[in-house]
Amino acid sequence: MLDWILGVACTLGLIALGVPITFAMTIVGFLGVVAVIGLAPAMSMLGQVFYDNGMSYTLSVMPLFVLMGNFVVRAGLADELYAASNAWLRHYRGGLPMATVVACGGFSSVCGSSLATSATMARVSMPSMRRYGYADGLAAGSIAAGGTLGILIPPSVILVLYGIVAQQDIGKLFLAGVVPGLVGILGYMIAVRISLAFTHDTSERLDPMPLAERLRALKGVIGVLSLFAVVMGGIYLGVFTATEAAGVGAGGAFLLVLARGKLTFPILLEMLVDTVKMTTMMFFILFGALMFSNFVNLAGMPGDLQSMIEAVGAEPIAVLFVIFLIYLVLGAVLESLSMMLLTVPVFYPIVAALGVDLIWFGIFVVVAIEISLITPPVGLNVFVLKAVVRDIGTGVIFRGVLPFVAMDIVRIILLILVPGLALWLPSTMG
Amino acid sequence: MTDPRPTSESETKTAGDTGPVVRFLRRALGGVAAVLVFGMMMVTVIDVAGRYLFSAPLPGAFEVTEITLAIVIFLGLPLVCFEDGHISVSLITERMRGAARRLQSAGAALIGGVTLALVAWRIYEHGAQLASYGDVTIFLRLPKGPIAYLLSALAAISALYLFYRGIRLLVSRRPPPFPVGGGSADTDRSPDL
Amino acid sequence: QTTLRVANWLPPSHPLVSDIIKPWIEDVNKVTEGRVVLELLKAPLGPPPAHFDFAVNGVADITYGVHNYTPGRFVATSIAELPFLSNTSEALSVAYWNVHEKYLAGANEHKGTHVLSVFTHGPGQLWTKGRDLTSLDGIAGSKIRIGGGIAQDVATALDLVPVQAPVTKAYELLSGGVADGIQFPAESVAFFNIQNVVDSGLVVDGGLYNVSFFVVMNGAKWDSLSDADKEAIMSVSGESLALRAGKAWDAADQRGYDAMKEKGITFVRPEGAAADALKAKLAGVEADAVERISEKGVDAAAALAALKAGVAGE
Ligand code: NA
Ligand code: NA
Repeated sequence: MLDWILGVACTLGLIALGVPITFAMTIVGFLGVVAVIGLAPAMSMLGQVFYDNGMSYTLSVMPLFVLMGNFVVRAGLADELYAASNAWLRHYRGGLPMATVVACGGFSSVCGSSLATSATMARVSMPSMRRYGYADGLAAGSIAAGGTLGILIPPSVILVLYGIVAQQDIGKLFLAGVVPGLVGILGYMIAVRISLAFTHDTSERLDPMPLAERLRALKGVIGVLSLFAVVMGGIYLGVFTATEAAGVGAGGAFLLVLARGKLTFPILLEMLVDTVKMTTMMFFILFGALMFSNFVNLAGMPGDLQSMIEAVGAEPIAVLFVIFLIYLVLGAVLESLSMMLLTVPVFYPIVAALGVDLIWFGIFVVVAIEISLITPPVGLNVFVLKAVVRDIGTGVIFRGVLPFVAMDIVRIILLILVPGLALWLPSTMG
Repeated sequence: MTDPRPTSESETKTAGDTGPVVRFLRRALGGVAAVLVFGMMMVTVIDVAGRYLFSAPLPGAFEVTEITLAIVIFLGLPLVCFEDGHISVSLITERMRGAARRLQSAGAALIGGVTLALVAWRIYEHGAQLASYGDVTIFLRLPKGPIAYLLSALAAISALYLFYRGIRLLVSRRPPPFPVGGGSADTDRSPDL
Repeated sequence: QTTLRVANWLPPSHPLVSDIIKPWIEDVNKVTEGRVVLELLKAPLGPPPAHFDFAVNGVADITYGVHNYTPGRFVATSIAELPFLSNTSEALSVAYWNVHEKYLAGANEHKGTHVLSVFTHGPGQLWTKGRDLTSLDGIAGSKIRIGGGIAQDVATALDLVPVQAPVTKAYELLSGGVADGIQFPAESVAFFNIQNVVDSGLVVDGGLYNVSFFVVMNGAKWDSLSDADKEAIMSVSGESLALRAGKAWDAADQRGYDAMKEKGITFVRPEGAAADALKAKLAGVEADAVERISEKGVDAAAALAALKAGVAGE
């Protein structure tokens, strides 16, 4: 038991000292395996982990979904999504931030990344929210929080990695994210109204758009809708596997960019190289996490934790609550992907032993991770937003996201009370 | 930066090593990797289209995808190392200044170098073991050993670079041709998630 | 007391774990009177094909796995995967273990390990949706998810269009029409709920193909055990484990057939001329395998004859 506690402590120590997370996990995992089963087997495991997992068909969805996201951002679909949701919502109180949230949700349905979603939406919606007098905090909060839906509403790069680590079906995980994602959109719209209720509303009320114009604006979302329909419809109906869906989605997004005349050869090359680098970063963290999880597995951690839980006689709900607290604390300082890969190998055998559905747990984890994206001091979506909208204080954004974080917590409680939110849709598949 | 698009994160990240060897490797490895990623997409599309339209899936598409994936991410490894792009947490280190910061950066680079050197060596040995058995892929029956040697070489390049970087930080008084320690754990050091 | 780690890559509910490996572990703990304790790892150490090497390299002490997951390495063991061998796993597994000891072990394909047992699952068959299985023409050209090894040779000989995908994707592939069918033993049909997405099965006397399994221990670890412990362990391994595995697979196959009958699946059993046509079509598969195995220095023809005699109870 000392083995793995020491290992966890060393890894966190190295990470705190600024050692890249992949190297910290790999080297500690390796040394830990040496301690448990000896040098020669540990050496052979190291080679095997990096080789075999690099050649995994299931994992090939990652670069393809990243590529699809890059194409989608470039295609300019975000502007049309915002225009459409604006047309329908702008005349309500809090209309523009609510339209932002809806457009974020829409964008999330074709982009697997939260950072890309919030960065794109910031560029698209921040100027108009400012023009019509919305407070910076609310405007920024709606974008940063709305962006977190990127990893919950499918496709989602984080759900893919969760599926790999916890050995769950990626198609089912994607479907499980749909309803909680819709609940998330609704919650964030409520958060906009709450925010307005507690602050002095300085925004201008806009006139409703004529129906004809609203309908015309809807036409703009056809691109997004058809892409989503192909990818998720294809997975839902079993027309293709998740990997194939990613390839087809990337191909479709590529055609969209091409059709809109937004592609030059240097831009394409740059997007492809970016895709490679992002994928590489993710994979090497995954490799480190797999090496580390082999170590804790061999050191008997799943059994130790299980008997600890049995010793205190904890109910599944109590365990989930503790896990959620751990995510809140870790999420303050860790980046989302690393946090997921550090923790899921530890948590999933425990909750599985308690009879928790691992598809449901994946959604639980992603919702918990979403919160980390917008909480201080390290909140990646907030930083992205700040990079796009230079003249806004980080403190203003963090205060602005508070009502949204509150709705996130409500959502996670709902998810625990009504597991069907996540599990119903995948259960109707096939 | 008036129009920061998230796809062009690399524009904000062009920092990183700019020596001639590194510049060449970035171009060459990046170019090959770009072609391969695009190829992965096309192979999947053709495979699916072939299956539905002509009832003839692309033979071996599955294995080609697997092998391409491994090569792509290992081609990306030196690229990420050149840019000091691996995700790290800089909550503490960003408060370090001067010598402390150099030492921290050197330490991080050397730990990375040692790790990747070990990985490169072990992948090579793994490949040698597979080759000695005559292991081949299930359908196309491609030999597995040589793939491992390629991955090993790419990891070795990355390890060498990190050693160079670490030692350079330790001994040189001139400012290195790469940033020291990177920024905060924020956008410029995170994958697009 | 020696504790040995047993690697596991299947869910605990899978018959190979619940009905074969776990009871065997308990038996070993019992017969060695607690001197050797086997401990099943809770989470997998790596993908299934890596498990033979885990035993060779001592990553785990004992591993189980499928020979044809690492093609190129195991040739002699493919003898147990040939078509028309046996209607039960029990008969084939026991015969296979004995043939392995007498003929195949000499090829030394399990180098670096001590072989605790080898066995096969029940006969593999062909399950399809919307296909006419009464003639070979009706089968030709259908998109079939296939495994590796001899199953692949069989598919080629039958002019099937192979669809490659991980076995965990089987349901998805069939429900959406990505594939028209799948090669599976009846047990796997039920385990992956395939009965919901196919309508008929080609159930061939003796099976269309089979799959060969190993249970091995790290060679050095084995050598370090006392003779008494070795003897005790082998008393519940080897033929005894093959027999246990065979019975477990057969029971699992029976459950599979029950599930399929409940769904009203049509079973097509080729007889007479149809059976002869099938045999003729697949004749090359056996001949090729015998030739490949002979190249490994094994008297393949004699081994195959002994295997068939063993199955027949001779
Ligand atoms: Na998404
Ligand atoms: Na945070």
